Amino acid sequence: METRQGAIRTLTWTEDITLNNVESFRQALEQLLAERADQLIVNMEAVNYINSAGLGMIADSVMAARAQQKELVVAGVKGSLAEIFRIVKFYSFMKLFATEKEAIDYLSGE
Amino acid sequence: MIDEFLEYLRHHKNFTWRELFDRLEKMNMLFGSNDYVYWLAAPDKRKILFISSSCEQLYGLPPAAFYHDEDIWMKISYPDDHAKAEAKWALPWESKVSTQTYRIVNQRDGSVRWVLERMVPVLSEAEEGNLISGFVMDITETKRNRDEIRLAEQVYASIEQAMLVTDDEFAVRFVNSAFTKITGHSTEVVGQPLHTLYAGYYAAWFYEVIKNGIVESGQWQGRVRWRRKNGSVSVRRTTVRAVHNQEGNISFYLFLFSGLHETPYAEAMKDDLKLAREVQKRVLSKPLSANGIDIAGTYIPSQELGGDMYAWYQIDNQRYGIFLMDVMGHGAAASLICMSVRSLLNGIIRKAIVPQAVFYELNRHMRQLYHENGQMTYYFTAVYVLVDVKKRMIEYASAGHPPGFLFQPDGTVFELDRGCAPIGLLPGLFVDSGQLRYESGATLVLYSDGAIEGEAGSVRQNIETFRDTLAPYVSLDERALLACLRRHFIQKGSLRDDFSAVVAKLR
Repeated sequence: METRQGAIRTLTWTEDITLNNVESFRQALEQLLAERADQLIVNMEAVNYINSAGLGMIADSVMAARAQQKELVVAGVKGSLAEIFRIVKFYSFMKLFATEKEAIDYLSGE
Repeated sequence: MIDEFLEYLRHHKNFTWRELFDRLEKMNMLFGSNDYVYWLAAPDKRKILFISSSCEQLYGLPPAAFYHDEDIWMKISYPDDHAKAEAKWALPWESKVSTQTYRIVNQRDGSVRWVLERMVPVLSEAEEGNLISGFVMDITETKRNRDEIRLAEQVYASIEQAMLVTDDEFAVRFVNSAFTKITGHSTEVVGQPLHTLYAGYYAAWFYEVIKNGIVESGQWQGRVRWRRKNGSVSVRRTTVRAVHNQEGNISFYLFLFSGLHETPYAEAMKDDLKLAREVQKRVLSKPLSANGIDIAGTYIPSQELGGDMYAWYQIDNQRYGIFLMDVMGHGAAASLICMSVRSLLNGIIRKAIVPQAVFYELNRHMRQLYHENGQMTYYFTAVYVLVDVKKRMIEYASAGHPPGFLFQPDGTVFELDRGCAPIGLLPGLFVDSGQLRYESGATLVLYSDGAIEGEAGSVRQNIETFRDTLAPYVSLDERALLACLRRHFIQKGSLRDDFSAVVAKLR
């Protein structure tokens, strides 16, 4: 599901990312990147698990966004999902937020 | 004895039914088998006049218990059968017809038995009122057998593997629906000799080959040309097992056929994958024992080819590089990437030596080889530890990999959690390596995420559970510790992911 708030576009993903839906996740990220907005949020508040392919897609999307002078951040990173992101050390190259509001505040410069 | 009995009847005009049947029972003239219970009752008085002593075995109560309690039928009946117990007293005596009911009865020990009870009105002109008699048969075993047979029929029908059962003379007795699906043959082949299902020439010695195979190794396996109903040939890997009766003689042969979609090509692929897995195992470093360090590893593959690999190298006379990696995903592609990294690893570690430089170099290779059109195609997580046995120091980095453990002899445990993002994911890496000093007797454990997957808890909980699983064994030498780990994971059943671990004992 995609929502718009000013120049920010949000993709809200509501299920765990596994072999069964990772391709849909990739397509959703591609659509998000194709948006005219420069500031992009992937809200994963309802996600508890993401497989290695899904992690790769997020990293790729972050890099693709940068190449287009955009910024993609991930929100809703809590609990088990936060542990996964911590282990793979995604915080070393991208912004992760516990809530969508925090992500919006960051992108809005507040 | 019969004479005595007749004499008794002549002299005792007022004997009761119970006295009469007791005597008959003692003379073995009444239902000798303990499987049956005979009884006689006066329904209008709700009174049991006689019950055979075999009631003790069926109900767990002696005959006396039945004579003095008019609610006894109700008490021994299963709650759902109370209505049936009550209906017993209301047998339509005038109709002169017998009835039979299936019931469940309680035993004194809390168990239940299934019984079949037949009741008949007693044809008598006696003045003492209408009587009914009945006998009860214990059908518990029969019922259980029937249930098991029904269950087996359901299992056979729903199982996806094609199967056929013959008797000991190789006449077809049963085929399941999966067999019908692949051959077209159905119940019309039941009773036919098995060889009518062969395609082409049949030789009688084939049965002997099967029998000998079963005697020698418990089962026979081979490729058999079967004839489908439409006349075409189906070559299937077939396994034959014998089913023995209670006396130990063969009563049935069970024929199991290979999968529905299996083709010679699929078979060849399976063999190739088996070989590939073997090759992958062979490139893993062999145990190393040197001054100040002992290293060993273990690898338990999951069902498919995986992307786990470990290796270690002596860099100079005091430094050793230990490396463990896990390629994203599974299958042949992950395995091939693993092998390509393995071919570079020796040169990279000996040249770059420290974790930061090793990971930079590996990342450069991965981006060159597997990054197309600006898109990541593959990446891997890894942990690399440089051990200096003279300084008793380790320098490490973890590239998106679950943290390894350094168990110190005093019981403290360090997690190797510093590092960078996985290798191949980003164009440039910022590697934050860590350094730790160890005491003599410390144990270093590196592992792949197969060790922490499949558990119910969160990732952090699973890491801690794994660490706690290791803790009691860290005083063991590296091979014994790995043997314990292998046992632990094999006991857990089939792994969803590969599991690999490296243990280094640091002296």
